[in-house]
Amino acid sequence: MKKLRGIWGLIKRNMLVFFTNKGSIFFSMLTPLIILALYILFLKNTLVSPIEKAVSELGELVSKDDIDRFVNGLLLTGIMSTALLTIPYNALEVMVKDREDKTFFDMSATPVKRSEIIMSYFFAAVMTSFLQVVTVMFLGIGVLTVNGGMYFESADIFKLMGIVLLGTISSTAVLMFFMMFFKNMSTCSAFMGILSAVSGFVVGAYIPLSEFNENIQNVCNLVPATGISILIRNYLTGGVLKHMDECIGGLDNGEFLRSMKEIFSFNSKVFGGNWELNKTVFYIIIITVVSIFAIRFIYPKTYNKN
Amino acid sequence: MNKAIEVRNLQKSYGDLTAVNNISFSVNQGELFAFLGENGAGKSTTINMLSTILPKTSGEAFVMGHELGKNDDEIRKEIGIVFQNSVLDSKLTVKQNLLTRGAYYGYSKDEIMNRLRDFWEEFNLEEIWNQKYEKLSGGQRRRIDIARALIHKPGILFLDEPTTGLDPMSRKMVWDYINHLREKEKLTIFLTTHYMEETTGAGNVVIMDKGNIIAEGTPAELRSRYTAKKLIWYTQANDDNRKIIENADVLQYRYEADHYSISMDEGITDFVWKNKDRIKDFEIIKGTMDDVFLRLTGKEMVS
Repeated sequence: MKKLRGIWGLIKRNMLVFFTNKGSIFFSMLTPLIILALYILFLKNTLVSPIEKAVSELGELVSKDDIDRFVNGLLLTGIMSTALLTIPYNALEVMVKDREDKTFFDMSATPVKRSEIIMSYFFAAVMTSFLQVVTVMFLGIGVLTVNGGMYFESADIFKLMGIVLLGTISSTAVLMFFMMFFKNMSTCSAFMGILSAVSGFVVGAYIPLSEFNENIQNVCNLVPATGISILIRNYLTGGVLKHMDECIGGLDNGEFLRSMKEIFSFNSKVFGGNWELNKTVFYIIIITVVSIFAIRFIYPKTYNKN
Repeated sequence: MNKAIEVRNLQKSYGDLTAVNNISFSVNQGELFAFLGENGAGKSTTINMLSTILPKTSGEAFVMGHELGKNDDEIRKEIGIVFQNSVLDSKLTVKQNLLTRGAYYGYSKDEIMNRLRDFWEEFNLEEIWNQKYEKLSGGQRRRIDIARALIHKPGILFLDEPTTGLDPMSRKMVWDYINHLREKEKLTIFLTTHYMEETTGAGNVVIMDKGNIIAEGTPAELRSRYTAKKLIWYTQANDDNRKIIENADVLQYRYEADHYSISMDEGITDFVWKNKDRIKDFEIIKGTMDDVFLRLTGKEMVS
């Protein structure tokens, strides 16, 4: 009981520190907000127009409303996928700041073990990120339902929350693996700049991954966050796509469905292989578990070098 | 007397750099122990080793009878630390800071509140309980740092330059708290400081320089061992007076404003007696801990 209280005390403290820093919350939301702004300004049209052109041959079989719903799904996928990178990153900055300020000395001089201190940063970041990303998800669903609509079953919400949980755990683990070597906040800020700029491309939020050459696609698809974005995309747009296919009624022999899934990366493509969703989930879990073990065993050693 | 801390040949190296070089000393239980040295002398590294934050390179140490490196969890229960720079969270309230820190030791909210009642009034916690730490004055912050360090009722309190940066009033206030707590809680206090006057109440003083212990003893022992007595002679500066001084066995002298300050190892009373017709207004003072430090390291403490 005492041990649990100690670990919970650390987790609670880390979460409180994050939530009382409004600047950190704002910056963690910056990339998702930029994506929202870009969609409103021009990205939506650049996606809607080619789809409309592609389905023009099918006449009225594919409605404009369904296309809007599909693109809204893509927008929310982009927002949630980038949020799943930037929010855990900002939540983990508490760990780097503690190291810079030597706050971790205070923790190290208590009966809580080093490994527990380290894992408390992990769990606090997972919890704060999950809460924030789920909030973003519901806000997104609300806003997009009013603006053009969304298409998915209410039961999908729970599956989506499951993906968000997997995404938060895997992003936190992978990011923490890198961040455990950061000794000050200036390194953190520099890396955040890179992450903000790159994340939208890596998860295919700005342009579909299929637009890139094969090598870049391979690299991007090896990033667990990209796998998460593929899972989210399947849940947020899979339903409307299936509905559109049903409306076409087999006139195109399923060509529309196949090409949309190909263009908008509904599956991970790694070195020529087309991974089923189960394989993507398995890959994400493996990378996450390996990262957690690495953090658990390498981090205490980096502490002793201060 | 029981030893609160016993250190034998303790060493800390970072590659070729030796931060703490084979030091040995002991601290009695209930004692105020002062650890002096310039920045980089190895004081904080020693504290960090004794408090299990940093691993030692070699040597051995026992804290409240528990061996460092073997019974670290037991040591952590016995020590509280007031760090040089506060390690509490500036954006959190006093309440949030103290309740989360108390939880690190496995205490429930009720247990923490019970403990805080021991110094609730003295520390005036009621008034600042819901205030953010960053909004507190320097003195109030230090009080909360001390409350945090004592939340689990430790036997030893490490104070790493606890009054640096505080105004004289806050410094006095902090020391009043420390002395009161020492009495009340029967605490052993391990102090590092830049202010030499803070060491006068210490039972034992250790002076470090470049990772080595260069002197050890009570303040009185150190002052008599390493400083000369001073005669302050209030008079005018003139050739006659100067001749009298120069003919005596003085170490050094200088005229300051309205008096001669004359350092002598021995024979001050004989000198005064011999010149009693001229020396009418005077005082004899012992060397200070500042003088001890200056003599040993060739450097003045920077405050």
